Amino acid sequence: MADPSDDLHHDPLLAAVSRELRTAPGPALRSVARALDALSRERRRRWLAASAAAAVVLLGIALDLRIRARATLPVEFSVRSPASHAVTVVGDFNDWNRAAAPLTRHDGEWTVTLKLRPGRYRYAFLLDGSRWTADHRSPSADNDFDIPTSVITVAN
Amino acid sequence: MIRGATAEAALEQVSVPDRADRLSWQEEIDRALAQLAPDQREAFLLKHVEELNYEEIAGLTGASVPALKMRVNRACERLRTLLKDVYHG
Repeated sequence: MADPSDDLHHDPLLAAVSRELRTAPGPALRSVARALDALSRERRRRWLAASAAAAVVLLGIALDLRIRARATLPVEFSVRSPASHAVTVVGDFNDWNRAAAPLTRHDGEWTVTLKLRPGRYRYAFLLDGSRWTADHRSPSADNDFDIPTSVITVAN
Repeated sequence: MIRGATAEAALEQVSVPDRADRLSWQEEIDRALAQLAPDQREAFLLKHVEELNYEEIAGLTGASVPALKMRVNRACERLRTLLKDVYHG
């Protein structure tokens, strides 16, 4: 069905407006140009504002992801081994360096707190530099090294 | 789009009383157009002054055809309201 506003012939007032704007000299014609210019400027301004807002949001998301990825979280490792004289925790987070993370003894309980980035790490405890033991408080990991290993997931 | 010289020449051909009336009518149209929402003014001008069809306007503005028809409709209603007391057809 045709929209009445598509055809102004039935409406003398609007037909006169349209005719005036199309044919009249002076202000009316200039108003068309001004209106279209203003609309163009407004559209550019809106587009720039929307682009800037989108850029800020994306930057915020990127920064947040970057901060989250780089943030470290304290993770406590502990193992009970009263008979041991030295205990270290060795894993993916310290490239399986046997000496990087020594634990401190408290009445037979050995503990250390490491700052780790979010991720999934396999690890094991090394008792007196020769005996490996898994962390029985954590799930077992696939054993690629012929030693009992555990796995811990660090998340924000 | 604007043919200033032609427009000025046409203005010179209008008699003085007619010219005064016409300038007043033009000013009223200017004033009424300025009171339209920008998107409605744009749709009205493109449809009824530039005489584009809705598909062409949609291509220019990015708005959908139904949305443009709504804008033109509302612009027409508003112009009717704003100009009914000054229009002496």
